[in-house]
Amino acid sequence: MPNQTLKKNTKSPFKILIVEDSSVQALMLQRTLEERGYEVECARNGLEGLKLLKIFEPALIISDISMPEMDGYRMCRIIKDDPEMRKTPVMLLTYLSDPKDIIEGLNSRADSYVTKPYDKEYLCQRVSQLLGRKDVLPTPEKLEEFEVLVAGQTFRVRADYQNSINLLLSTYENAVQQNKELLQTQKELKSLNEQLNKRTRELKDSEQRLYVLMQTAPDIIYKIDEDGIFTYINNAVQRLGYKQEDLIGKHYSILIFPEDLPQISYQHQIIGLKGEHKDAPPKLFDERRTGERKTEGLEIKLRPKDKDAEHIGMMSIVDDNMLLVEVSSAGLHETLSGGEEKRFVGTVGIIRDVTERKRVERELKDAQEELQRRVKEELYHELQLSYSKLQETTQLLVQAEKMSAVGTLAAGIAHELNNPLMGILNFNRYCLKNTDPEDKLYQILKDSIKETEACIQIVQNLLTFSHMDSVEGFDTELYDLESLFERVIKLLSYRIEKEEINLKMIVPPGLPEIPIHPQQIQQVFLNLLSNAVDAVMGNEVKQIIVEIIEEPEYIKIIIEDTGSGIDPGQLKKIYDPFFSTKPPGQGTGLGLSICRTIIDEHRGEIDCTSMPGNHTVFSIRLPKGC
Amino acid sequence: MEKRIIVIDDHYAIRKSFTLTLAQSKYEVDTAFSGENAIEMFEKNKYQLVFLDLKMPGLNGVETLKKIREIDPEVTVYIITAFHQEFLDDLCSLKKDKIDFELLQKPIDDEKIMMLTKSVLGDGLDNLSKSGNS
Repeated sequence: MPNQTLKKNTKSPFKILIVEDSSVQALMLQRTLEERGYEVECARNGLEGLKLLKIFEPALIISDISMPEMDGYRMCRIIKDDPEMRKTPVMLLTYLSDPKDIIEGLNSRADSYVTKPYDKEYLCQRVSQLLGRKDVLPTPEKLEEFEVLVAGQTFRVRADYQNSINLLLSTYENAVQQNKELLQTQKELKSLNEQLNKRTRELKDSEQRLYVLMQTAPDIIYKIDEDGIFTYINNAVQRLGYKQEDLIGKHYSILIFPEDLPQISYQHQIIGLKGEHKDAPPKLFDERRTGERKTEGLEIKLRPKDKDAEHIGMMSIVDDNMLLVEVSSAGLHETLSGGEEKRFVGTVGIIRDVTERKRVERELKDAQEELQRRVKEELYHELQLSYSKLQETTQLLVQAEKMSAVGTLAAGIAHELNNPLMGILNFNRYCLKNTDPEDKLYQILKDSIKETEACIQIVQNLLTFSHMDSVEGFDTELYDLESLFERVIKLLSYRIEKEEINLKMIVPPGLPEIPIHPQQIQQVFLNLLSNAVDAVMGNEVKQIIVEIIEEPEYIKIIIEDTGSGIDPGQLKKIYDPFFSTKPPGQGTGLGLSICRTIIDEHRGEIDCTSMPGNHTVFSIRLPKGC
Repeated sequence: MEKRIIVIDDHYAIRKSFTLTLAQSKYEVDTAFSGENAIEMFEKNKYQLVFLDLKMPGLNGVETLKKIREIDPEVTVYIITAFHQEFLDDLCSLKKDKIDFELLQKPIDDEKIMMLTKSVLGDGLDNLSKSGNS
């Protein structure tokens, strides 16, 4: 019964007892073994181990050496002395490979010996090996005693042959294994070393490149320590007249104009007294600053080396012998050992010459201001023009409004006047009818009638002006201009005779009739002739000539008088409503503007030329056809 | 039968102009100072010629004419006015409604008045005019 035999000789192959006082190590080992499917129990020292052995009945014991209560050697000896317990293989774990430990191990009659730190794989190999073994261990009587010389010392060993060989072999295996591991480690170390060398070379090259770059950069690159002393500065300081060695070891304030220092250094700000502004903190080197201590784009003046000064650092008086720069810098921090804290150790920064840029900026600003000024001027000019135009237009508009209002008013008044005027006219005429022509009242009545008719005419004019035309005359009719003129002359005949005005009329034969509004054209002729009569009154030469000329498209009518004429300045105003050269009370000033309107409606032309003090000529053109 | 004329105008000067002019004629001349007044007279008498103003307080000329035509569709009516624009539409609608009238523009003198009356009512005048009209 093989199974039974197996059962007899080996306990369940999956149970292992660990005896280890370090709970960390015990746990680690337990995990390792349980991963491989073993059932594991732990005891904390030899005593506990013995107890658990009886209860747990493991197939293997793995034990540490140094433990409280009972050490591993002792426990092993007890196990191996016990006929029941000795079957269980014991593996001892220990740190040292001191030969004395092996002697002890031999004496304890352990089956295997593994050094710490152990390779997990190796240990598990040994474990499965031990578990696979079916040797029957000898009784203690079969043990032999012999002496060995190890490391200059003599030891007594009491162990049996088989056991000893096993132990020694396993020790040897250990050594070999360790050697292997050692060799491996050596190899790795060598490779790491090579990598390190390579990296170091690369770093050197990189540093070299950086150095070259910094040296050749046009901007000033610097490093100052936590006290503000230059530890590095590149070649670019030559622009200020310095050599690198002039500045290394010196405080940075050597490059700053004294009057600027308060802006830059807090220390100096404190020292600087007499009501300096202390509201804004210094921009660059505030010794109180913490954190990143970053500065970007700070614009300052740098002081060049004054060749005439006895030593560096004396104030330079000449104004334009300076360099306008922009400083950008950041704080350097060193990580303290321990890994967490950082200590401020200095600042690195770049100083860029912006003198040229500043100059260009200034020029640009000036140019912009000039442009703005010009644009403003232009705008102002435009604005003024627009304003004048606006004023003009407004005035015209107001005028037009007035006109419209006056027109409506005039129309209203005119209508009102028609009634009393009709009365006056008819009353006078009645009286005239019933007066003896020889009576002196007769003439007076006649005059009265004339004046009344004048009033009526004025009212008519007003109504025409405000476009309240009579129903008659909506349509044009063909009319003979000559007879129209004669009617007009007749109307004015009284005045013409009285003033002894020489009136001449020139009309070509066969003058065609033209389409007109007779009433309106009559009014135009009346106005012009009336004006002509007024003009020549008071003159020596009182002549009026009316000439009608036939043109291909038009009939032209010329009215010329030898009157006092019209000033050139007033000539363009004559058609303006309410414009009059007559004294107030005489005429409304509407006459010519009405004429203009009427002629425009007939699609004709009216023109006036005059020589002041000599004559005036009005010419009218009326179209012959539609 | 006697020929009767009525002058309807709210202005004294207008009414007097007509009465003076037609004083020595054979016609009877009545005057009315308002549209309402005119209608009253129309209900009492028959007229052959009407002179009618447009712009009057109360019943204006157009309304008066409509009412007159209700009483007498035949009588000759002359509307005398300076042609207020405001009446233009009304006058047009009158024409459309086939209400007859003639138009006369103010101011008119005695000559024109006589000429007109003669042409409508025929002769009936005494010779009176001593000339001298311009």
